[in-house]
Amino acid sequence: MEVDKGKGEAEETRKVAEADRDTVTLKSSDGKLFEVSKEAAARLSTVLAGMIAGGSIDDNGTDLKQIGSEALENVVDYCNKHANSIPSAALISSSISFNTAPFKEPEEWERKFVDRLSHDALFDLVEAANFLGMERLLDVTCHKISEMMKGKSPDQIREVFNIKNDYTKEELEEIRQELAWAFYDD
Amino acid sequence: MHSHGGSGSKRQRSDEVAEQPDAGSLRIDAETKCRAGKGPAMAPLLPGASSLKKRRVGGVAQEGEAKSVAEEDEEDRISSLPEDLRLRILALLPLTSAIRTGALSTRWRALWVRRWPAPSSLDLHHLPMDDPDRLLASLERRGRRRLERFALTLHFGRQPHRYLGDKDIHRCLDYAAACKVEELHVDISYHWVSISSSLNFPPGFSSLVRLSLLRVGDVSFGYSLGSDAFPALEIIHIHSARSVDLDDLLSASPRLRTLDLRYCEFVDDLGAIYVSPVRRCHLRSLTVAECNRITKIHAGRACGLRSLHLSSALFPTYKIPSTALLEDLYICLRGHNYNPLKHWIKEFPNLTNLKVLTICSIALRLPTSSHDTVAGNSSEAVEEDKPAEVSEEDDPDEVLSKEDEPDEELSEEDETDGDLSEEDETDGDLSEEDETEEELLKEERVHEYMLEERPYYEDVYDEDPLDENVPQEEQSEEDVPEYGLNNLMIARMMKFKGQYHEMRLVSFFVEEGSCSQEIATSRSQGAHMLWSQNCCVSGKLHQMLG
Repeated sequence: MEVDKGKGEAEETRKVAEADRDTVTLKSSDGKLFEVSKEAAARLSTVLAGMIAGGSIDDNGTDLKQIGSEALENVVDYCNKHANSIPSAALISSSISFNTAPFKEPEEWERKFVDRLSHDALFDLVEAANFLGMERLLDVTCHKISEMMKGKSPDQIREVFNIKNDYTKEELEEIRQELAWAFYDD
Repeated sequence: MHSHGGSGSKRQRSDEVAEQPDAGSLRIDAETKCRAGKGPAMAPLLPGASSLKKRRVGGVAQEGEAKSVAEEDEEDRISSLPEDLRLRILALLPLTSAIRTGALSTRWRALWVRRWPAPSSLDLHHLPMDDPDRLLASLERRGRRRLERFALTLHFGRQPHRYLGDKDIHRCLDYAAACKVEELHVDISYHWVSISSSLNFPPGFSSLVRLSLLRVGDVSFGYSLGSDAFPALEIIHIHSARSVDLDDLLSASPRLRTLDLRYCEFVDDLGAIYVSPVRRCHLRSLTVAECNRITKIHAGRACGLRSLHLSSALFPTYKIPSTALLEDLYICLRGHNYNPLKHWIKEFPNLTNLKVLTICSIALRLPTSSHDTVAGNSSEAVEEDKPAEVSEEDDPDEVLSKEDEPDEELSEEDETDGDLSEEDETDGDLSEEDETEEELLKEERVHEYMLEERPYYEDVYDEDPLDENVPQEEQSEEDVPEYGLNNLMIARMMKFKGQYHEMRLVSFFVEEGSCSQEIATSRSQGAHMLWSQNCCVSGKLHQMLG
């Protein structure tokens, strides 16, 4: 994978002792290898940051048994896009206003990034992001999923996500009455 | 997506799908449609639920596959997400949408109830039996996600697992700084930890807006801090700290708007605080309460100051820019002072904007020792006023005296003693306070009342506190000139005893009329300690309609 040399060097000067390489190699559950900038990995994933700091990164490919190659490719892709398209300060820098929402709307490129994913690839990516502790990617993917639910009736949501309705008729009626006000505009 | 539509039933299905504003992906819809066509027997109640399932991505279902088999094969990816992720998704939905998910299936039924915004606030309560390492580990697990609020409270308890020591607290502070916390609250309510603690703030609080420290030991902010180490800090509350390196903090907080110091034993070394070290000072509210070693308060650049609350057993001098238009003033300085006029009353800037005035009535009483102080002022007026006093007192007194009776004697006795530590000691203080207001109003008369009439009044009062005539206020009106308190809405007097000098002040406000919408008095002991809670106004003396 491409590596941002500038960042890599900066990283290197900071962590002289530790790093002779500015990328890390990740291995998917089906054995494929991916390379990602160490700086981006450490910044975007708390788990990878921990592994890098803890020295448990394997130069021959760090095993990520829970993540398939398709999802891992997306993760790596996201990291690289992130490193290239956003100045790293943008995420870290804070606004001064007091009630800043913790959630930041996805950027245009992030939207596109998740929009092109298939249904399953999207969920694979959510799970991978969750496993790797990638908060921003979780925000972006969960946002996409919430968009898919927004404004839909329960029937429609079930349809989109293949949710099996296991309520009895009576239970469902009960719920409808309980939450009637939320269904008014159906 | 309609391209697959073949049979009539399929078409129906596809229309339904198409209605969805933005279905997940085209591929899914198409698959759904195809399969739907084969399942005419839909559940009557929820047509979409059982019959419409699609195979996940790669697995296109075989046409021949039995419907039931297909249903079981279909993967419900979203319901199998861990709960915290589903909650995270719900948190991004509008409330009604989130509630509707309760009808999806049993796995969703009550989930929305726990829908919360991404947890950006940590409120940690540490009990001695808790293991500090677990606390720290849980922080580590959370990662360095942005935090709006971080609150750490150390509670008292026995049999500590291991004391949460300074080192642990420092790690919490480091963590909070790394998470770009905006509001930081530390409360060491465990006394023995508190008194021995020594906190040195790490750098990196670049987003911190509010800082509140309660019951801490020594607090320092490091000499190496740059002038913008706290570039966003607007509000500082420090209560009950043993010592605070305030200068370091203030000089590193250019945006400070509110400074609230209470019961801080040592503040810097010299007892002087420079509240406005920065050229552009944004300070609007300054509170220095019962920090009895502070002798000087320099706020000379705080031109925007609107609220000033001072309370001390000593007599700190202060400097406030003359351009500051105070709106809320609380004064309870009980220390000795031999020239109040010169030393502090004149320090008050223009009070024409004052809306709320609170003074501690202790200041109104006349300490025997303070005669000399004030005596210089006119003595002539006294004679005239004396007769009037008695009559004037009555009406307000009646109201007040009911509450006050029990305490009066005690408090009066105390006054003579004049210890600094006690509330009542205030020999000089109270008289001085009166002066503040009235002096602003009119300097000469006030002193007289306080000095000479008081003994007279006390006698009267002690004998028959309750039964007095109805007042006549006319007399005073004559003398009252116009003062600059045109905007005064509320005047409060704490520790009201209904004594003469107090009544004079009250009647002044009543007569002045121009200002007061409400005059409230309270006699609760120790009220000045609670004034943050609006002085627990227990007795309203007058309700004035401007």
